[in-house]
Amino acid sequence: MIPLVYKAVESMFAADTGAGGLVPLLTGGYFIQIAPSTTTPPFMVGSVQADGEIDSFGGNGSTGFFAFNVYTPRNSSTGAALGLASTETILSRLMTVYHNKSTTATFNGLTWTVSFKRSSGIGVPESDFAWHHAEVYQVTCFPTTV
Amino acid sequence: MASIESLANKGRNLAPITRGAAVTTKIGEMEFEWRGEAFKEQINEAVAVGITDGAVHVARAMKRNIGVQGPPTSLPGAFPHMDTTSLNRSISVDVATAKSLVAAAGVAREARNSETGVRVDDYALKLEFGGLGQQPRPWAVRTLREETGKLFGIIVESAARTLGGGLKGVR
Repeated sequence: MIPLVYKAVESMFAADTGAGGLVPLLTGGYFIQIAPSTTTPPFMVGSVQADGEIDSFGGNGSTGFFAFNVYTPRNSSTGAALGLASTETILSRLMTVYHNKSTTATFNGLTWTVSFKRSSGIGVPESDFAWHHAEVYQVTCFPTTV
Repeated sequence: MASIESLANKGRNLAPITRGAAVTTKIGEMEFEWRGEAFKEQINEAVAVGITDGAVHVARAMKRNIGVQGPPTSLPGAFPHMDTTSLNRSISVDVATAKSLVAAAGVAREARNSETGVRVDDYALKLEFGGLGQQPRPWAVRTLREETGKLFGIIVESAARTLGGGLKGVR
C-alpha cells in the first residue's frame, strides 16, 4: 500500500494551492523520503513509517503510519523565531488538509479510499540549518471497489 | 525507565486482599466480607502489570528488530543495523502503576552513545524520521504496528493471571 499512500498524500498536497495552503506555505517543496541537500526551507518530506494488512475486505484493507517531516529555517536568531512560527502555521494547515480527511486513489486496478487521522508529533534534533518537526498520521486504506 | 531483564516475571500473584474497610454480611452460617475499595485497587494493580508486560513485549521486539550487527549499514526504510550497539542496549520500559495506567517502551532518556557520548534518543529519532541528508529507517512505530495484534491478548492475559493470584486468598 505504500505507493498508494504516497499517491494520496501528494494529490491532497498538490490540491491545496489557495492562500494559506500547503503549496504556497512550503516554498521549498514536498519530497518523498529525502530532500535534495540544496533545498531551502520551508519544505516537507513524507515517509511511510509502518504499513500492514488488516482483516477487512478479504485482507485487502491496510493501516499504517505516515510521517510529515516539516523543515523550517533556523540559521539566525530572527530566522529561528520565524521558523518556529512558520512550523506552527504549517502543522496547523496539515491538520486542516489531512486530519479526519479522506481521498480516493487508484492502485492495482482498484479504487481505494485513503483516510488520515493525526496520531502524534515530535521535534527531531537537527543542525542549525533548520527546525525539524515530525507529524505522524494514522492512515487507513480500503478498496472502494473490490 | 527499567531494564527489560529487571521486569521479567515480576509483579505476579498479588497479595490476597485483606486490607481496607470491609462490609460484612452474614447469610446463615456463611459470612461474606466485601472490601470494595481494596478490590478496585487490586484490579488497577493487575492491569498495571498487564500493561507493563505489553510494553516489555514491544521493547523485546524493538531489540530484536534492531539487533542485526553492521556493517553493512541498513538500507533506507529497513530496520537500522547496529554500529556501537548503544541504541539496542538503551531500549527499556517505563512501568505502569495502579495510579498511572501508562507504560512505554523505547530509548532510556539518560542513555548516551558509548563511543561519542551523544544522546541516544537524538539519533534514534533521526533513524525513525530521517533528517537532512538522511533517509528514514523506521524502527519504533513500525515495531509497535507489527506487534499491536498481540498486545491486547498479552495485556489481558497477564492482568487476569495477576488478579487471579490475588483473588485465590480472598477471605
